[in-house]
Amino acid sequence: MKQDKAIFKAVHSRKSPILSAGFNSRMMDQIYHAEAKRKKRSYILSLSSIAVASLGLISLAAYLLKDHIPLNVTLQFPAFLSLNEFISRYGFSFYIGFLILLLMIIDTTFRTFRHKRESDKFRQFK
Amino acid sequence: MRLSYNMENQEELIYIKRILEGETNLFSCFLEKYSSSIYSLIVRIIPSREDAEELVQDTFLKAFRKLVTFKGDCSFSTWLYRIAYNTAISETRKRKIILPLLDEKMMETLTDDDMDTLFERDEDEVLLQKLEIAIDQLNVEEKTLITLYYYEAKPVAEIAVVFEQTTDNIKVKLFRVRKKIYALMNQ
Repeated sequence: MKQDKAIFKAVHSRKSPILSAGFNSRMMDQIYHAEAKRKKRSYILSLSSIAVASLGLISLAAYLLKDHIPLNVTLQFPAFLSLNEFISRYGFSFYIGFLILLLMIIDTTFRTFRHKRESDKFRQFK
Repeated sequence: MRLSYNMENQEELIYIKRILEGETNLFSCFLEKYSSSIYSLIVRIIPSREDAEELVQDTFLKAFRKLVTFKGDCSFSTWLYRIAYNTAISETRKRKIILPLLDEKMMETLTDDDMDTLFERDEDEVLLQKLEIAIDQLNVEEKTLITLYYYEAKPVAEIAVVFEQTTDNIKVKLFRVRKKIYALMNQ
């Protein structure tokens, strides 16, 4: 193909209009907004999946306890645990539940702290 | 030239990685670099400046949302042009644009020499005006092709990526567009 000087000149002779003032900063606002929405969506999604998984496990545990594990089962703890005397099967379950709750509280605290720090960082860039 | 292109590509890949890791503010570098060229492409397809600006916004938002899918197998600008072209195409589908009918027989009888002679005359102002009018009458795909090849000086291989076609197809299309421009000028 030849150089097509005439087409080249005709295409270049038309001046391209310039984007309106502040386009890039408006666009960046939209990008930050989209990013915040994406993070919120993924947070809700992960929280929902954790909730569903937890509910599933609790239901499974309840089902197993009710129908498949005889009530006369005694839990054997190793001797070095001197809790044998007062930890019943239900006590142990509450202990695990308490641990999960504690971990969830710690997790939420750290997430909130990180989220706050990132928001401060974004504000700084803006 | 090739080395600097690769270096630029590598740099952009690093930026993309950092954006995906949470440094959203780095996206402004891409905006600074490409917003004008994307706008000049879209404004040639969609004549309304306001609509074109809105489509530029859509293009960059789509690019940001799909950033994770960019694998670096083409340059970032080519990838952006592809999004811009698809966005503009779907917008034009909503509008009915009536294009002029062409004499197909006349187009078939055109020779390469006729076109080469005419398109080399870049001093003739009347011819240039006629050319501008003819380019305005092209369809979206042809306008994009002309803009990318003659205005943005993109190589055929990159244009092929934008259109998701082979380089041979693009060469054939460029040849046909030249014929069509010639025919439109002589109608």
